[in-house]
Formats: sequence, C-alpha cells, structure tokens
Amino acid sequence: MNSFAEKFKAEVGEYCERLESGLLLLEQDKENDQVIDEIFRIMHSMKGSGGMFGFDLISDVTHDLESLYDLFRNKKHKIDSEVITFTLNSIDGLHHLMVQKPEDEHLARAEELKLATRQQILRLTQEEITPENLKSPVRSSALEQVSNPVTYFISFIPDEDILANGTNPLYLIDELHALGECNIRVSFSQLPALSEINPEKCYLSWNLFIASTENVETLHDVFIFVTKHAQVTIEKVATFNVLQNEAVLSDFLNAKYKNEQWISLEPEVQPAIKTEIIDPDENEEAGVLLKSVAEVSKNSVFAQTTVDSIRVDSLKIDQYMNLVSELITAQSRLEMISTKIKNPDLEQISEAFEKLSRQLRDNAFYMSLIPLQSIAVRFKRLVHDLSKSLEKEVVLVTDGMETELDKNIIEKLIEPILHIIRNSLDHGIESKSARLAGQKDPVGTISIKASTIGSYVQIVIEDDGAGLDLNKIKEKAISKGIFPDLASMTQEEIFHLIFEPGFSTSELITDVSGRGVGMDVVKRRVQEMRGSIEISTEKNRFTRFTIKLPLSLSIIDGLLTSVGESYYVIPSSVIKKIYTIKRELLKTEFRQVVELEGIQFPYINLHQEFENGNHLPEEQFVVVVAFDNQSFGLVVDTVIREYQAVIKPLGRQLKGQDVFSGASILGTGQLALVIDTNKMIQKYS
Amino acid sequence: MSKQILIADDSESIREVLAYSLKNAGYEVLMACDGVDALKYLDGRTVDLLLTDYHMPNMNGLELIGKVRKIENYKFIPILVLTTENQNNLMKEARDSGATGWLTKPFNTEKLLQTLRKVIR
Repeated sequence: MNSFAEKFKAEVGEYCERLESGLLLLEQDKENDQVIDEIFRIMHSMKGSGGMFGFDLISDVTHDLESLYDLFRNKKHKIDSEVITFTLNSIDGLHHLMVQKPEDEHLARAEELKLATRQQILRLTQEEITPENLKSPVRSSALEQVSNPVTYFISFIPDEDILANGTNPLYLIDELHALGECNIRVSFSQLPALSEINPEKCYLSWNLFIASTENVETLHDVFIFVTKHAQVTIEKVATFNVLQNEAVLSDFLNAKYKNEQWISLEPEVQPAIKTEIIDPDENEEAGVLLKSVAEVSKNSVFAQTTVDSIRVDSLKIDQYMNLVSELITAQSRLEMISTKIKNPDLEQISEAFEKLSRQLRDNAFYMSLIPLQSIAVRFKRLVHDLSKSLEKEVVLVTDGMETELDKNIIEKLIEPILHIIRNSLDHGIESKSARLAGQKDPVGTISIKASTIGSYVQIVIEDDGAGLDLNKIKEKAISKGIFPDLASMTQEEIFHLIFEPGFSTSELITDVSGRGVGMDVVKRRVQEMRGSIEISTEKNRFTRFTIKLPLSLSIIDGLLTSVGESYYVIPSSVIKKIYTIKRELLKTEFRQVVELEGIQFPYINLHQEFENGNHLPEEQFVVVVAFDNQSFGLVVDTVIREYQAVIKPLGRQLKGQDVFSGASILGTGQLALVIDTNKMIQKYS
Repeated sequence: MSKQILIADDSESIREVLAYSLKNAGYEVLMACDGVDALKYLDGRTVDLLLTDYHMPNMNGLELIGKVRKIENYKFIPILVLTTENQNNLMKEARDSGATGWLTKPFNTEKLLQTLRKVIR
C-alpha cells in the first residue's frame, strides 16, 4: 500500500499545481465556470483519494474546500479575490497535512484550515454553518453482527427492465447465498408464452428464506443497486433457523398471501415481537444535489493532456539516459574496431548500430525534455503573492513557455529565476505612486520570454521598473573597496558587478530579497549548467536578464578534431562551415584575420594556443563557428569525423577553466575535450 | 479466460490501487484516464465490466455511461461508478444514466470485491 501512498503524494503535488494555476486564472477571470468546475473536481478527487490512502486530514480539509467551491459551482455566490488568496494559502497548508499518522500539530493545523474554510463559507452565505450541513466524511464502520442465525423472508420482484442496466438478478441471489443458508422459490407467474418473450426483459421474481447471522441492513445492502428497479421487502420470520421446518415456511407464505400479519417466532414461546418491515428508501439519506459537471473542454487552459502519456520515475529516465550514453561510447569503439578490421560485414553492422544508437539517443534526449510551462506556475504564484504583500500591482507576462529543456536544467532553473523575479518585484518595480509620478503605467510588468536558438534556450526576464542605478553600483563598489579599478570598466562591466558575491544595491534591506546574497548564486547556478547570464538596463525603463542555457547537459553532436596529439570536440550546433587552408594563408599578422570566399573573419589557431605552434602542419582546417551574430574561425590540424559526444564532467585539474565544458571518451579510450566555443573565443581573441 | 475490467479514473493512484486488487483477484485490467480515453478502449473490444470514476476531465463518468450504453455490445455489460459518500442523489442519477451500481470511496479490497460480486462472476 505504501507505494500507492507515494503515488498519491505525488498526485497531490500535481493537483496542487493545477489548483494554483486554476486559481491564478480565476484571479483574472472570476466568471470562468470551466475553471471553477475543474477546481471543484480536483478537490473532490483529493477528498476521495485522501480517504482511500489513509490521508484523512487531506480528505477532511478538501471536503470543506469542496463545499466552499460548490457555492461558486452552483452559481449561488461569486468568487472573489479573498477566497482565491485564501484557497492558495490553504493549498500551501495541505502540503503539511500529507501524513498518514497525524500528530497533534497536524490535527490542529487541519482544524484551523477547516475553521477558516467555514468562515469563508459563512462570510459568503451569511449563514450559520451547522455541523450537519458540513458533515465530515463518514468512515465505514463495521456493522454489528448477530451471533445466532435469524430467519428472514425476502421478496425480490425486479422490474421488467432491470437487465438494461447490466444487472444480473441471479448474482444478487448468489450473494445472498453467501450470507447464509437459503431456501429459494422462483415465481414464474409473470412469464409470458414463449413466442411473446422479450429476451431483454426479466419476468421472474423470487421468494426466499434465509437463515443468516448478518443483520437486516447487510441483507438490504445486497439490493442496494436495484432499490429503484425492484421491490424488495425483508421480514423477520423467526429469531432462529427455521429453514428445515417446512410447516413454518408455508404458514408464513400463507399469512403473506392472505395479507395477515406475521409474528416473528421465538425459540421459546415468548411475547410477540413486532414484525419488522424495512423500507429500503429509509436507508438513503438526503444527499447534496450534485449537478452533472459541465464538460471541461479542450480549450480549458490547463486541461490535462495525459491521455497518451505515462508517468515514469525521473530516476529511471536518468538511468536510461546514462545507459544510452554508455551505449554510444560502446558504439564508437565498435566503429573504430570495424574501421581497423575492414570487414565489410562488420562495417555494415557497425553502421546500422551507429544509426540506431543515434536515433535512440535523440529519442532519450527528447524524452527527458519538459516544457518550461511546468514551472511557470511557480513564477505566477510568486508574483501574485509578493505583489500583494508589497502593495504593488504587477502583471506577469509569459511567452514561449512551451519551450522544452532538459528536466535537470529546469529543476536547477527554478531558484535562479525566482530570485530574479523577487528582485524585480522588490527593487525593480517602483511603488504605485512613484510610477504615477514618473508618468508610467501604475501597473508594473514583468515578462518572461523563452525561445530556442539553435541548441540553446534563451530566457529573457524583464521588468519595466526603475532600472539599475550606475552611480549607486559604483558607490557601493567603492564603499566595499573590492573593485578599485572602476575607471577602466565599461558601463556593462559595472552592471555585472551585481553578480559579485555580497553585493546589494537596495537602500532598505527588506525581507523579500534580503541582503543581496543571491545574484552571485544565480550566476553560479547558470554557469554550472554551461549557461550564461547577461544583464542590460536603462534607468527608469527596464532591467533585463538574458539567460542562455544548453538544451541538454549530457549528450551533444559534435565534430571530432585533432590538434597535435590531442582531440577536441566542437559542438555541431555552432558550426557554419569547414575549410582547408594552407599554412601561409594563416600567417599571423597584426591581427589574426583570415579571408575565405571574400569574407574576412578573426580566427584562433588552436595549435598555437595549445601546442606552442612550433610544428604547424602545412595544411590545416578552419572550422567556422557562430559567435553572437558573427563568424569566427577555429583552426585545427585535422577534422576527423562527426561524433556524438557523451559529455562527462571534467576532473579536478580542469575545474578552474571554462573553455572546455566537459570531456568525452573516444572508442580508443582516449579523451577528447569538448570546447565551449563562446568561452574560448572570449578568452583567446 | 479471466474477465476483463476497464477502469476509467483520472487519479493514477486510484487506478493503480484498483488494478492491484483486481489483478490479485484474477481479473484482467485495462486502464483509461478519462471518459474519452475509455471510449477509445471500448471501441471494437468487449470488456466484462466498466469501473468508472464520476468526476473526470474531458468526459465525466455519467456521460461516459450514456455513450457506452448506446454501443450495442455494451447494453448489458455491468458498469460501476466510483463515488464518495454523501452523494445519494448522484447514485440515483448514475442508475438513471445506465450504471449498474456504484462503489463508495474509501473502499478496501474486500469491499471492492464484494461490490463486484453483485454484478460480475
């Protein structure tokens, strides 16, 4: 049962996210019935499943929340911002109640939430909430059992059309059989002539005696599905088993036939006990009227689309990715050996293997990508909550949230982006009055835009607030005394000082973005993912953070090249063209520029940088790569072939540099270093 | 041949716990995550029992039952609806739309199989 509980917990997490995004939608469009229905439905599911898996507190709390949303669903009341904020907080509270064995603090918390929910209902309805109309779910309790068998008579007369709903009356008789000894008589009196029988109708009825230790409710339970489609009466015949006494049974049937009252027999001659006739309807309490839920159409903004998907443990995906990387390493060995042996059969197999493993790799790669959408709700939530507490009005605009990124990157991305948004809300966006004074829209805007550029994903986070203050940053830098070289720094470099550890520009230290610890962490995090972060800002207009991240961390398509004795991999995604070039054309002049096909562009000769440049080969290769919007040449000794690089992290010796993003093991067992072309060009040009 | 049961529920945990109990009891289990999905499963196949949640996205349980009952093969197939307590009107509604019966959450394996026995062998 425990793995189910784990599943349920994960599900509650998902439900909460969907509730949050739903509530945030409602905040904008309070009349959106589809969303209200969806919210009601999710709460209902949580209530039901919570009870199933022993999370009673979740079940109890969502029960009350469900009642609250029933008010909106039935259009009795209109939802307002207070309810939305209240619900968001309650959802946060639910996370703490995810326990199967609640302790006092959990119970107290649940009580608090339930009380608060009732207060919301009270506020809306202006009615006193009695325990009756807000009854917590009733848990099934064991019904008391009678120790000695009692004989009952059951008359079961099904309607003709009882079969239409899939009911098989014989199963019910069977079920009674399981509850005690039976004496069954079938009545054929309604059976028409064979030619008139409609096989879809039921013409039979049953009279039976049962001697059972079960109580009369249990017997009625057998017929619970057919109370509206059959006449069922149960009467007590005797307080002991009289099934063997045919005389008593026929006496009883006679009395029934004559419509006489039957007095239940006692083992000894005792004063009569009143006949017990139970109306099945009594068993049914009046319940809450539930209207059929309106269809949640496809265009429901957060409609779930899991129809054709399965959920896989992310750990398993990681393992799968790892195995695929190992497979690719093995494949490159096979390829190498088959090239050496030159056996056509082997080569054929090797080629097929290469193709398949490439497809498998792509497949694995796309499997591990998830859309940014999955975390967007966290950003929305932050803006919603924080703007309220800061008393600023801010809208969050998102674009390109369908952009997909490696799951591992997405997870690591949440904190940095949250931090940037927090900063924007706290320091960037001005107070309402300041914005009005500056003739700006009183409502601030923060936008997050994502897009895929080649093998990179670019995420731009921009606010239309006050912008960074160059002078303040300078002052701060001087007062900290750690950046003495300000005069020689460009404006851009000065702005980038905010990424230095322990830097804060806010005059007031608030509890929102704290003491400015963080932007350095943000930068480090992004760099750890082989990404980069840039800042641009204009006073009183905007602050813009541009984060660039690789799509994946583990495998890339590259070009295997050699320089001297060493191997280097250049990511295919940045390569524009490859030329061969004679050594004399590369003679170092005042600037390293090479002209090819009439276009001049700068180049770096890796042989010079890494091998002293003493024994330059006669002919080299220029690999033209994209750098920002320009072209740049990387000159290598030989271009070997295309290569799928499974990137492994570098050892300690190479940790300090950022020119290489990782290493890959070749089929021969030799190492190839994977070049981060952007970093290399920045460093050596 | 063991009987086939189709479960339609949007909650994975409920689906799994049902499937676990039913498989142990010797049934063959198919799973769908909502009404639309369930109809896809039923198309061209005959299951012996449909066990559907009431509240589901895209198409709820009652709508599903209405549609299923219109399929000739499924006129007499037993259908159970999963509900939570305090919904007696819902149970009537379920019956009216063609359900054979219902199963109230929370339930345990015993209650599940006991309920099943009312409608399937």
